[in-house]
Amino acid sequence: MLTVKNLTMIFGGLTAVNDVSFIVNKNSIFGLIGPNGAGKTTLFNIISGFLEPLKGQIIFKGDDIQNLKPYQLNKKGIARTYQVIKIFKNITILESVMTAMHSRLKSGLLAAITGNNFLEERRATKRALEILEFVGLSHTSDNLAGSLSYGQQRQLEIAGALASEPSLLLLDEPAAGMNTKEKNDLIKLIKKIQDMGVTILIIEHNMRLIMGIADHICVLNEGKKIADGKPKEIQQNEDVIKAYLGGGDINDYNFRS
Amino acid sequence: MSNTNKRYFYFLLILIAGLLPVVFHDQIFLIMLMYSSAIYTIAVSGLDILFGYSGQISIGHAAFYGIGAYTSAILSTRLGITPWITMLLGGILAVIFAVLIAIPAVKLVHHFLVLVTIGFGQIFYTFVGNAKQLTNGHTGIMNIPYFKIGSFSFNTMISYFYVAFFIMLMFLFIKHKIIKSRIGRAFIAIRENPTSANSSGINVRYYKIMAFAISAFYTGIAGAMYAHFTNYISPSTFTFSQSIIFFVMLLVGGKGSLFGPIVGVVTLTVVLQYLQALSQYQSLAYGAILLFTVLFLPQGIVGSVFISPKKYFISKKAV
Repeated sequence: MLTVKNLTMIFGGLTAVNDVSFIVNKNSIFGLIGPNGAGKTTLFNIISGFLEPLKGQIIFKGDDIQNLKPYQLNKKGIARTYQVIKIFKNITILESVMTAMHSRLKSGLLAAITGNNFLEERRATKRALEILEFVGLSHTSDNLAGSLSYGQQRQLEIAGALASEPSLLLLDEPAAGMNTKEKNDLIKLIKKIQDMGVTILIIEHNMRLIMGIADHICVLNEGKKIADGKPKEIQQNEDVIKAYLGGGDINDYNFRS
Repeated sequence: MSNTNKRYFYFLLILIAGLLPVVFHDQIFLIMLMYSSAIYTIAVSGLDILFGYSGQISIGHAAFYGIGAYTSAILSTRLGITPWITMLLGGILAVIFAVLIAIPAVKLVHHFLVLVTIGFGQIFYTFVGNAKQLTNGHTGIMNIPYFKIGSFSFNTMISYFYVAFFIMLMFLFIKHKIIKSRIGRAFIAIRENPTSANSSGINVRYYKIMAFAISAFYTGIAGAMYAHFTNYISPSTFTFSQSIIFFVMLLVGGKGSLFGPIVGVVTLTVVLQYLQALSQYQSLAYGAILLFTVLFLPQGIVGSVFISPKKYFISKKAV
């Protein structure tokens, strides 16, 4: 589905992503974890086309995509959400989902002026309402997106991402700032999206959440991949424990007697 | 208001506006204000597509207004082409210039874009003032032909009004159609959040240029109409302060709405009539109006008065 090969990204003197490679299998939930500053979001920005990597290759559905722009990747089937919510605040919830359908609709200027987009618009509205119901926001579709609560805005972002009918969905810390109930709903939603046949790449700090849903996890630290495997394997990996809890052997310390 | 009610309301509004000049047919001054308001509404609606919807500022729209006016005036006086066609060509030339400006300029936002558009306006003003062979310089172009259908010439105030009014309705309708389409949603997405628009599949650069083009077409057509009504144009109409007037009209009326430009144009046209007496202090008055609007009516008259507050609160069903 998605193959990342020897990806390297350098900002000035900082190597944000250092020779990272991994393979995301079709219809799996692939977790990307690591301490702050490990390069996870940079990796996301590269995969979604906002940054061009210095070195390396990204292959999606058999094509090289590292040179494509975000809107082109969206059309190809990669959708994403953001760590810091970026929704269209001053339009209604329904309109924001319809906006995100852009690459799946065809009507141009002439069709809009002559009203030839009528059928397409009606279908799009119906589809948008279905998606909103799917993520659990259907009652509020006429309200402004900015009026939603924080957790609901996260749901709306996912609805928007789904509107472009992606085959790969990138979720950047979707559970950040959510309460327990919202987190549980989110887990169910992510599972439901997987059941639709979508492949999911997810960055998450919440260990219980990521260990519970991911089929495969890749751990980054200081730009480098330090582990890659099933959640169980990751939990027992010494490098990972070291990266999260700090290194050293307890016997190396001199205790005062 | 339900959709049917809304339709009746619009119809009634159009009927009243359309009948006003018949009722007040001896009030020449009022009719003059009405047709110039219709022209301004088209121009300001164009600016609204750019600024109100796609979020790109322009303080150089007098140039597009002028390109429309000069193209139509020159082609109809020199080549004798009917004004209906030259008006369209004026709009198209405005689009061409808009695209040329937009290709580099859409990379800029806020004050940088302001500077580029002001610069473009100044270049246009200087050009028409100096290209004497083409534009007759500051003397201006005289005897610009009227609009005609067959042998009927639109040469009275009332006939100006109906031409302008009809074209205005058409352009407002088209604007509404564009805004409610995939393209309009792309414009709004760019205004709201360019990054998110980009990852939502919208080619931000392309749609920014398109917004410039559509906007220029509206303003160019308005300029051409102005030329064929007044029969005389000179560079002094297409100055920086004309761009400011468009901008203030949009802000006062309310950007990003169908009625905003109309309300802004009518308000400012009436106010400006009273301000004529102030002569050189007029720009002081624009400044004061602009300041008042930005501070107390940031959404303009339409946005502050008519938008239902319900939209801002979650309905009870949701919880």
